[in-house]
Amino acid sequence: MEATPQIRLLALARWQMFVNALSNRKSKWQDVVGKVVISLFGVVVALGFAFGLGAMIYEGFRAGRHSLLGIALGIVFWMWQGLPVVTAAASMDFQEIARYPISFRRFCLLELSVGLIDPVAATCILWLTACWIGVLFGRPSLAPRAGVMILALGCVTLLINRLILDHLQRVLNTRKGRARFFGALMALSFAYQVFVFSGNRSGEKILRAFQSLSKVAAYFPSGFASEGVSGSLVRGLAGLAGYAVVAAWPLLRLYRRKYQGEVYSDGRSKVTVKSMSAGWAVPGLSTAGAAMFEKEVRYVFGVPMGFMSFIFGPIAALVTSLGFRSPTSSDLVFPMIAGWVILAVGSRGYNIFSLDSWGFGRYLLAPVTLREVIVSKNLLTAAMMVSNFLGALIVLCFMRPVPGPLFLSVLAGYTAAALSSLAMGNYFSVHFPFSVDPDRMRAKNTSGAAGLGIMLFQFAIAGILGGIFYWKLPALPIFAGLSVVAAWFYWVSLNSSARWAESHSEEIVRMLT
Amino acid sequence: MSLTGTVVIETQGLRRTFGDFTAVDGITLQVERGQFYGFLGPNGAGKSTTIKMLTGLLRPTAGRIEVLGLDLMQDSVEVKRRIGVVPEGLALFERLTGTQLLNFIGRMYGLSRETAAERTSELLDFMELREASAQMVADYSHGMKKKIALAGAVIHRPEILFLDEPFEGVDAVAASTLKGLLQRFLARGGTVFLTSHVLEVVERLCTHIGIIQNGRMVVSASLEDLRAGVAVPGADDSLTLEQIFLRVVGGTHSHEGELNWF
Repeated sequence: MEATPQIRLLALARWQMFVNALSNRKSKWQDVVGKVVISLFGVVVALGFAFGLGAMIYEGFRAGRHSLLGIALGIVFWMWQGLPVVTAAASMDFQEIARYPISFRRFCLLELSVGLIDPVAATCILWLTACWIGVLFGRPSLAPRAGVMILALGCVTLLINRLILDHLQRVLNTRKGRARFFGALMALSFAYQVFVFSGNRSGEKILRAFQSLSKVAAYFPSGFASEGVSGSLVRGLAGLAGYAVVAAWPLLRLYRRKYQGEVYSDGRSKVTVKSMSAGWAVPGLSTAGAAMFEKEVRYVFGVPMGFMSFIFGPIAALVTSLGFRSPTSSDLVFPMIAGWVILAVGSRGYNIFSLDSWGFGRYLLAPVTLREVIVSKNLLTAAMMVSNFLGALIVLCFMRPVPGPLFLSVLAGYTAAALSSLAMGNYFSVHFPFSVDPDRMRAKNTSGAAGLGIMLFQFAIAGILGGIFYWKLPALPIFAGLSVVAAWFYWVSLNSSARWAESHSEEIVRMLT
Repeated sequence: MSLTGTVVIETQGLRRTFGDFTAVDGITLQVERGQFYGFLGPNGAGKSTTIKMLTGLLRPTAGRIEVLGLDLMQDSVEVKRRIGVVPEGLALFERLTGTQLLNFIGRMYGLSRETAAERTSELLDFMELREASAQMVADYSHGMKKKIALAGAVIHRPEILFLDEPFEGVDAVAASTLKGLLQRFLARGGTVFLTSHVLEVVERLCTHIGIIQNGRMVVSASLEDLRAGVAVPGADDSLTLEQIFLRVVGGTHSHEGELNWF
């Protein structure tokens, strides 16, 4: 068989998987509509960006500012490298193609083709084309050179991209590797937020650091491609060829190993036999209740960066209060952090069975009621909320004492919001359960329908709390009253959710597995 | 006092539909204490659906289930306390270590912390999982998962064990460990209700056989009666259980003339 039909088959397989995912028995119409809308949105954004890039280069070349091409190509180059890495854990794996009767040369070709079938690659190719069209209309005489250089840049980018992703795949093929990778991404994301929030004090330094980085950009593949168009063609081509050789050599070695059947998996880890210890005893909880609570806590700490759920508040308090310079504005920090914690930590409670998957069946087999199970999960979320609230309070008091009346108002508001959040969380958790693999990077942690409902509910809570502070209404009595209502709401929701879960347990199992 | 002869699992007109499809169609069966009951059937016959209904994982569309003399619908918590299950999919919390999982399951069944820890330790040794006890269950091999699931099913000393395909995908060493545990359980007076495709194992372990086809019970008898031709006309001592099974479910049709290209 020729290589082209095989590439076509790969593309067809990918398309069929996409279509099958849409018509999955588990997919609800909301999810299908969501996927279609997101896909359409993606196409519009990609086309819009392509138009923007093309227009920028067109105007730049007309005005003689050829350096804009380097910036545009740099954006595409980094997008092509970065986006697949972020979504790598969810992308499809064509490693199995080594099983089919194909030569090594064709195997390499198919592996590279897989890189081109990727939606990110397709989008980046579209953007590169837009860059070339910009040159074509902005300065037609440079179009042939630009065509050669952009094509060469595409090839080099593809090689580097495959090299990075194939190495990443080795990491992601093991559960521990996925956990570490996901943890690193979360740590990076968190570090970025700290970076942004502390920007008030060091903005100029950050800007200077970025400016010095841009000088190095000339030595990236995009820089060489730009040089080849508006400067020395030989230097540009030589630079790209150098990159191609540096990337192709290890990639070929890697492909050889894959072709010969290297399989990555979790090896047997070092044997560590620990002494047997009894489980936790939690005051006020039955043995089964304590066991379920312990399991929940262990699960959170077993998830990459899971411990952050307990200390998110104090860290946010520290970072945010550093950003506020005046003592008056620091009074806003406490309610702001409290609201933030409710949104961030409380959201865990909207899909309480997310990590259980097949394990949910264990609750049905054991002599416990689903009400007890839900309570144990609520206790965990409540423990996180308390830990974050107290942590944030301690940090803020260390910086500047929180006035008593403010503390009481925020405490009452926090209690009302936390109880309401738990109540709504139980409702969404049993009606729209959604399984989440904590070792994989995903765009969403709840089902589509639940996500919309949660967002509306959170806006409502934020609106009420914000409104009371904004209009300077008597916060303490209002929040105290709301807390009582929220407690009643929680009780009603707990009972009705548990009843619903008991009578719809099969549906929950089906949606989680 | 001998407890043999007491009916511990009884169903009447058990039926389960999924939309238009009837998975289980009016099954009536009785299993007595001390029996090792092998529940057999071709793929899609309704075995797993039946075992799920018997263990409270699925609600029947119609019919009645009594386990240990208790109505499963009325006294589900009490029934669950007294049975152990290895379900399809195993229902394990895979992000716990082997030790943590067994400890957790034991306490879910009401064992004290100390007892759960003690039995966890003994079961890990018996199942030869001691070395992997600190590893997450997610990192276990398929056979190890089956072993930990069986350990979880017996940790609270149940009276009946329901096992859905316990030997599927298990190597000979692990299977031997599982069989050892089951024989010990039977010797203590326990009852086992098992589905399996491994008919050699069923033939060696089971005392009674039920065969289900297209959701209906077609045979339910002791292995001796099956062999003696009492339950299946034409069967005799010379036939293996596999041959009797194929005769019952009609799986003996000739494939001559098919796949000529092969």
